[in-house]
Amino acid sequence: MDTGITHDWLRPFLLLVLWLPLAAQARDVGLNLSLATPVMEASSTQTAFIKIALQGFEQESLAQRSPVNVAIVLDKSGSMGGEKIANARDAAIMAIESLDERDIVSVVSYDSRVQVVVPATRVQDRESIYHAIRRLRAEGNTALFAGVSKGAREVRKFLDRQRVNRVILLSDGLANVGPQTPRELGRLGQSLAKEGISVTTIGLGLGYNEDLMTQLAGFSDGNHAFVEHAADLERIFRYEFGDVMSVVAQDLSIEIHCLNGVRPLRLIGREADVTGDRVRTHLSSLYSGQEKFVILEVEVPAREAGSTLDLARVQLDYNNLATRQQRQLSGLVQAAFSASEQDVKRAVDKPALEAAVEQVANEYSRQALERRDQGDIEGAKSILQKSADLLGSQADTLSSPKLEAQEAEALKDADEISSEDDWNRKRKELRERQYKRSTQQTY
Amino acid sequence: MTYRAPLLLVLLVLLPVLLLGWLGLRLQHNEQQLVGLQLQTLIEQQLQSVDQQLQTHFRQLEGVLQQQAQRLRRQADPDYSAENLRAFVKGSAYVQQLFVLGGTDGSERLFPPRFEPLSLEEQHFVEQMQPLWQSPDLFRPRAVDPLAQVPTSPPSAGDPQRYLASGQLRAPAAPAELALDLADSGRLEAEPASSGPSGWIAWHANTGLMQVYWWRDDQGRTLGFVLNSARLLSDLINRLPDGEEGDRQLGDAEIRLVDSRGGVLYSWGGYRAEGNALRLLWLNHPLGSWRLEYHAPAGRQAVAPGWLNVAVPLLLLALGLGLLGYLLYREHGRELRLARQRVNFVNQVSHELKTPLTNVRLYAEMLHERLGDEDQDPGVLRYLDVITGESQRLSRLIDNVLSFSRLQRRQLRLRFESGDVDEQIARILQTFAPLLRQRGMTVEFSAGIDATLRYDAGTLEQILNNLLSNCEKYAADSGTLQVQSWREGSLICIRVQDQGPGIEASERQRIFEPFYRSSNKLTDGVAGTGIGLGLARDLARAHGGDLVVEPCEHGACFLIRLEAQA
Repeated sequence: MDTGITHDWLRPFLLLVLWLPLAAQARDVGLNLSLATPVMEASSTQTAFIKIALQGFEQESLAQRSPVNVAIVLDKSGSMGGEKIANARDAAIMAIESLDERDIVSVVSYDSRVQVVVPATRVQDRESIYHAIRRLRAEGNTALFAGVSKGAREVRKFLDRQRVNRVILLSDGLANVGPQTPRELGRLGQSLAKEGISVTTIGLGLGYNEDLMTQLAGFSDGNHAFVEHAADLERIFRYEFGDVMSVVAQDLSIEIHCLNGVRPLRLIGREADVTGDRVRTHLSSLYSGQEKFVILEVEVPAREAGSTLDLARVQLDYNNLATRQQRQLSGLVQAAFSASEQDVKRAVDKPALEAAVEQVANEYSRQALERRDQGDIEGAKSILQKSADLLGSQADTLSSPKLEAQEAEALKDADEISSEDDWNRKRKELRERQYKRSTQQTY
Repeated sequence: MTYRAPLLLVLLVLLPVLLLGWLGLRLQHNEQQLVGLQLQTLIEQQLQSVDQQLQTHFRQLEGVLQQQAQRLRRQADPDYSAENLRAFVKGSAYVQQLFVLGGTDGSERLFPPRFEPLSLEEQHFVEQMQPLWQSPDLFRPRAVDPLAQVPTSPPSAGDPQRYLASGQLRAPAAPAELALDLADSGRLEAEPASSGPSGWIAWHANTGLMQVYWWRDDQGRTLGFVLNSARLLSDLINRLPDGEEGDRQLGDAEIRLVDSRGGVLYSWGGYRAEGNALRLLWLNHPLGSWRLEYHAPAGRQAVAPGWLNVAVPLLLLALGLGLLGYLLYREHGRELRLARQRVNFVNQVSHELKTPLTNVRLYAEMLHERLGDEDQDPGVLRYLDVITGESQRLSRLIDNVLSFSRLQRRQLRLRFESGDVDEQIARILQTFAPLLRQRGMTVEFSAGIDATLRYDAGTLEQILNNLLSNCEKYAADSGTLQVQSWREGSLICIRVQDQGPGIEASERQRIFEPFYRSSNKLTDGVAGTGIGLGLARDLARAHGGDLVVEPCEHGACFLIRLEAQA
């Protein structure tokens, strides 16, 4: 490859991402590595953002989708009474309607007791499944942990890495029987993720614990949604099942090895394991045609102008559901160094930088929420202000409408974060938005 | 008298009912206690079996972890590579973290590596576990390991191969909690189970209870598997019954799994109320700080049907006895009425007889007097004497009957009049003299009162009549009949003693009972009503005195005492 060694800055030679030939194949996940600033200033230590994007290939047709193995875990505690439980029942039935004989479904309900309403079964005798669901009535407390446990057990009965294994949890209240901290539920999610089960959490109304729900979903890389009105449940279930049925790759584990003295600082927005110069993270599933990415912030040591440097080697292992094969992809991230500020600016990889800024701002939003939780409203505001400033300046230089919208959002958040009245709903919204942004949730 | 019969009958009904009721209650109480005890045992067994289920999980987990430890050991060459161990932790759903201790004293940390960079989680982990690593005492097999002791272990813990092969994991009763890891380890060739020592440690860190399984390899290094506590709990919960199954097993009761802080981790069964536990069971190691609580409605040893069981037969019994009693009472009443009618009849008849008899006596005596003046055929006078004597006897008999019925009806009235007792006695004796003479007896009277006293002459006469006629009947040909009278203060005392065969000591009381007639050679063939002596004594008692039989050498000796009025 002709690279910066020829010092020919004007040509768009700045393709620092090496595409492996495999990635070009239609039925394979694309691994796109890019550096937000492919050309860096020489002679100074600086930070850089690496974007590691995974591009899901298009599912050829719905008929060729992978079979799914889903447990729907429904909260039927007292607070779910009336319209809520009715909507939840309808949504569950509607969702099962979209499955067919290849798929396995189970329904677990919980109040202070846990009940396996429909044990894991193939979707053949629909009427008896629907009948069992229609019998659900709301009463009692919220044994959320046990509910998820039994749901996972039903999924585990037919656990298969070639299926899409998922627990879909609907809750409208605080867990008050059994473990109830986000940390404990997160641990459970972590363990389930290791088995290849992901958990999607749907919070209904304003009574649930959004931290718990996002942690549980986050550790297993499931989806999370805040549904304020029960009437929207059907829509959310439709989206969720759409996702479930369009999974093209599972168990995507990314390992990044930083080279040449480059030091990993943080992986923005996702749980990751940083050990020395190695960073590992894990994504449970990739949907048809979807791009998921992670942003790694690294510290790059000073280099002289004109040199190039291999920053990191990235390896992706995943399970291709279309070919039913375990695949491995890898790539290398390179940077060039220049003394010219203009060169640096001109070389900026706009989509990568845009993604990095989006994630950094998202991280600011999280910090602001933490501040707000500690009671420091002013501190939270100033963080959001800082976030808005960053978004604003980058939106200008990159002329990105997406960042502009996010800036407006940040300003609005800064405005609303001081309000006490609507904080509960606002907080749920914020958590949901942060979660969706950092996991690139499709809905 | 009138109340006694109904009272007796009521007692007759009440006593057995009360007795049976009491016995029934006792029986029921005992039974309840027994049922209570059985229930307690049942509860205990239920809780024990839950504990056992949880222990089974640990045993199976132990088998899996042991295999994984051996696999890690085989990969070690000879040191454990951090890469391998990290890959293991990353892939294991059960294990949160792993550590390896080694060195000379066995407490030197080999993993997480000391001289290499650690991830944030590992750093945190090292901080948390430091105190544990510095207590090598914990890494000794427990002297009494409950895991090894539990007698009913379906497949042996150390042999997951066989467990898998037996197909039990596919059975609905034993859900495939550990299927994944077992399947993983199934790739290994079968090998002799467990080598080095191993055990469980329950470690309380600030984040809660952590379960650590440690295993010592052939080089004395210790592998410690720190379990993912949330996953462990999740698996334990999955072993416990859910919804309908729990209701079916327990009915109207509840079992709760409670952690060391008193928080309910999981509960099942049909009963859902707050309150104190009926029974507690602390779980075995390594869940020692957790407990099982059994909740049920207090006093659920259903009392109502028991009460019915006792009350219904008792009620029936009481009704039956009551009916019987009522019938008896009616019968008794009828008898009583009939008896009264008979007595009335006898009274009436006696009254009716008295008037003509009096006339017969009167005219017989008058005739005797008139004929006595003229010197007549002595045969005629003797006939008249017989008529007079017999009519006198008859009127005594009638007097007795009338007095007896008066006494019975408490209508006896004493008529106190002044009179000379001695004289009256002499007159009576005189009346009896011919009769006694006929029977071969003579009367000897020693009078000792010699005063005019107020008393009821009729009563005295009737008493004496009865005694004398008894003498006449039973002491014929016995010689002298001695009659003696004296005063003791206001008491009139009269002793009548014959020389006849006497009265046996055993009979002395019974001869006074009405209608009693001592049966022996003596009385056979002698007519009598059987009320004479009793009546005489009742009359004497009514007169403030008594009539007693005195012991004496020959014959019978009666002492009459009557209270005279001042």
